[in-house]
Amino acid sequence: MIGLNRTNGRWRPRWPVWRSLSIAVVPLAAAILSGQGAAHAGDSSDVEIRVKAAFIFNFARFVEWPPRSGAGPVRIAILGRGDLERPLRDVIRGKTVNGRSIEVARIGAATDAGCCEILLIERSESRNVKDIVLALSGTPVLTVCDSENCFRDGAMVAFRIVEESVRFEINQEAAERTGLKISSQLLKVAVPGAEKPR
Amino acid sequence: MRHGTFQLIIVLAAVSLAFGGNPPDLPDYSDLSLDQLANVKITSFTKKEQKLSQVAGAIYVITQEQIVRSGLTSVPELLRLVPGVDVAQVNGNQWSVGVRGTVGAYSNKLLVLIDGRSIYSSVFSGVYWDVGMPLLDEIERIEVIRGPGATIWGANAVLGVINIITKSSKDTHGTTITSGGGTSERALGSASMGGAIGSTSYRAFFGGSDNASLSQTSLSQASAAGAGDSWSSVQGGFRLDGSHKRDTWILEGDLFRGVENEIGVSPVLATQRVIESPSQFNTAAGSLTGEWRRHFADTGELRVSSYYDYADRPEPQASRVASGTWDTAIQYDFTAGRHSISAGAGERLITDSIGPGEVTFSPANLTYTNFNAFAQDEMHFVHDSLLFTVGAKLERNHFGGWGSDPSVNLLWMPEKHHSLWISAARSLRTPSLFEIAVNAPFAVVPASAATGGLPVLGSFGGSPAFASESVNDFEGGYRGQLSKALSVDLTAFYDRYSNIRSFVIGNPVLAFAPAPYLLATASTANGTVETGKGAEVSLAWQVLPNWKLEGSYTYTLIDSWLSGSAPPGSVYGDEKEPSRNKWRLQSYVNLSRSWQLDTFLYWTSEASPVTNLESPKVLVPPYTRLDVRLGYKAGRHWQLSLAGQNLLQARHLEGTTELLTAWSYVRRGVYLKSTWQF
Repeated sequence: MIGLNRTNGRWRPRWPVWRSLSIAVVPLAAAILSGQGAAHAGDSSDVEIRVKAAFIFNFARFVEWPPRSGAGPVRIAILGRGDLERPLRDVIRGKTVNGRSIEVARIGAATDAGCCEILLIERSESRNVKDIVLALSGTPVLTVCDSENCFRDGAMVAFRIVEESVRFEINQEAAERTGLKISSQLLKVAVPGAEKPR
Repeated sequence: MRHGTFQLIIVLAAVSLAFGGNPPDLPDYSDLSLDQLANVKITSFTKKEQKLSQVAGAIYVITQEQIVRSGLTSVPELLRLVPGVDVAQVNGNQWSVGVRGTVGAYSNKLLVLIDGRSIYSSVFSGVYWDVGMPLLDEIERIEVIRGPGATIWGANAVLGVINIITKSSKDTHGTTITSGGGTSERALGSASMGGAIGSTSYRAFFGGSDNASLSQTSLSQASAAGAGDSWSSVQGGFRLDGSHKRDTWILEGDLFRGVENEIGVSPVLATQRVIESPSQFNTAAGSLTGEWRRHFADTGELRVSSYYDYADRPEPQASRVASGTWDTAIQYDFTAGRHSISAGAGERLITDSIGPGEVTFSPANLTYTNFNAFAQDEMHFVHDSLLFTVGAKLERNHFGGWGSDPSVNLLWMPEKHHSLWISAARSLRTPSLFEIAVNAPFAVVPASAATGGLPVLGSFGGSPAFASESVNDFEGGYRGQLSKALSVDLTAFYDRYSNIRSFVIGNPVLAFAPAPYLLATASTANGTVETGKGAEVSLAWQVLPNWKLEGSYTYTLIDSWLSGSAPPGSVYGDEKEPSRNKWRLQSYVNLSRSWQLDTFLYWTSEASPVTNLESPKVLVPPYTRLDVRLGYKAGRHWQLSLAGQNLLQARHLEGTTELLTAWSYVRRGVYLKSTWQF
């Protein structure tokens, strides 16, 4: 409220500032470029898709399929285009669940899905979830969808972001109708559905 | 000294080059348990934009990742990261934090809440950034709303609200120890330990810091030794989070103690000069907050919260400036058809107590209550793509009387990642005890023939008639995700202020003790009118997978004049000119999995942040500030951070104080910090 100062003189442009900046910029650019491609680790959106992929791997561990699907590999089919195929392939590489190997395959249409244990519906197909679920009705296929909205369209599992973490909703009733058994450990981590599936 | 700058930057860049090429060792998330996976944070700019896309206002969130990567060490410093927020460290223990033109150490139109607890001072109308701030490791995020928030948050959220949200103890099981030190923060450390008993999580924490003096003060001629404004603090606290079926609850508390050195500024009649004198005082703060929520069916939530907050932050001229606040609030949120409705009420019991000193208050002790009630309806139309919100808060303030803070806004989302909004609101800044009851000598005019051979003592005087200030705000904006990598946020605002503080200088009266002098009192009044206009532009760009850039530009223009109805003898109260142009650039680079290099560049144009009743304007020259941080993650448990602040100059001036204390120059500083988690 009160001026207690002697007035400051006018300032002069501080060229050394800009000179020092330009000196900083060149090595900085070089550093960034040399680190590029190497450092996916800290990239945030990358964390999201890799956490989702790790969750899908865990679905294979914590869901039990009816005996007729045999002791062959756990097959994960991917429908549509999205971000999850690459991290999913990374995650399952060299892994087994309950003595079964895991395979990831891309498929063209939902009618082919009868041949898999987990169907991952990528973002590009999330509008067609109703049709996909209809085509699969009754078959013990865990439908996992990478979009919040597809839960109410009937997908058994849908990823959601809750307080900056990746979480998912599970429609336990729909899954168990087809003979799947979902471990209580998985149900504990699931978030309660915000909108009841129809 | 300038060579030092070059060297530091080159060394940092060289270090980053040396480690930049390492192939990354990607963390394997399939090794984590389900619980651990569910707690991996995916903070990112794009996600943030998505969540914020439904807010009809200018909002920014400082995430935990940014807190770590900024390399900054205190809450007010962190606010530098926010576009449109004007942060200046004015001396060792005071900051001027303003939004849209409200600058100054007693910037009074910004409300600050810690977990819902207001720390806005009822005595000085402003925030003491050196008392009771949470340890940075305790903070989950800081939400900054620019523009009025009074409908929901209450009085004094005139031009902005800062919500500091601490971590839930559910997310902090385990032990974290940080320690570090450097040239400006001579020492800093904290320890936190958490776990769970049944369904209740707990955390206890303890920490402290020791801060060096800044450089040279406003009046004293260059003392290289420092400004005599060093300070240190210790604090500790706890947080409990529990839930049972439909209920969740939080209980948290903390205690804070500080020892501060500050240079007081006072007029002395005997020598007829304004002098600076060093002083030392103890600060103390403590709080206890409880919150309980119950969910009803799908759509309703009832929240009851209560807190007690105590803070004593003396000034060199007042041995105690203490406030105890007991606040209780109730709020109910529910959805009915297309309406999302919030309604609530609250009451606050405040006890202010001022100790003896050169600055006196009359009364020096006062207990009073304030009351408020609010309702807001958010209406959803056209498949949620059109949101219309209308609300109002009704308040009764002990000094300001009844008043209302209404607001209305409209948000349109033509597509998922694009939103346009407009808003209109009125909010109040309520009078503080200072403006009602103070008597603060601030200037002395030496005896001369014109003064009748007697010295004149200038003094601020509170006036019981001082009323609430009010601001009508109109603003609009656009927020959009232009591509996967680029998002943009634009805001333009126009503010019309009325009843802003002015002073009426009364006729000098003759006083006799200790020797005869003339006393001229400048009493508070509501005679100033102001307009504020400006625009804020910010961009977030994921340039490369390992390189994120954020930039912003802010333009602010404040005009003030005396209203026609101001009584004779009136002078502007808050004739401040904030810097008109501000640029800010942040760069976050992951050099490899272990190494991070983060760079922060700020450019601020000239400002004249202090009102001058009698002396020439004080100019803060434009300045460029460069902060750099190098981070190293050594495995899963250990993290190192080397940070440098104000690297471009040995020292620079960022802002000035308004009253009572001297200001000083911010120095270049470097520190090293280590964080150990297990």
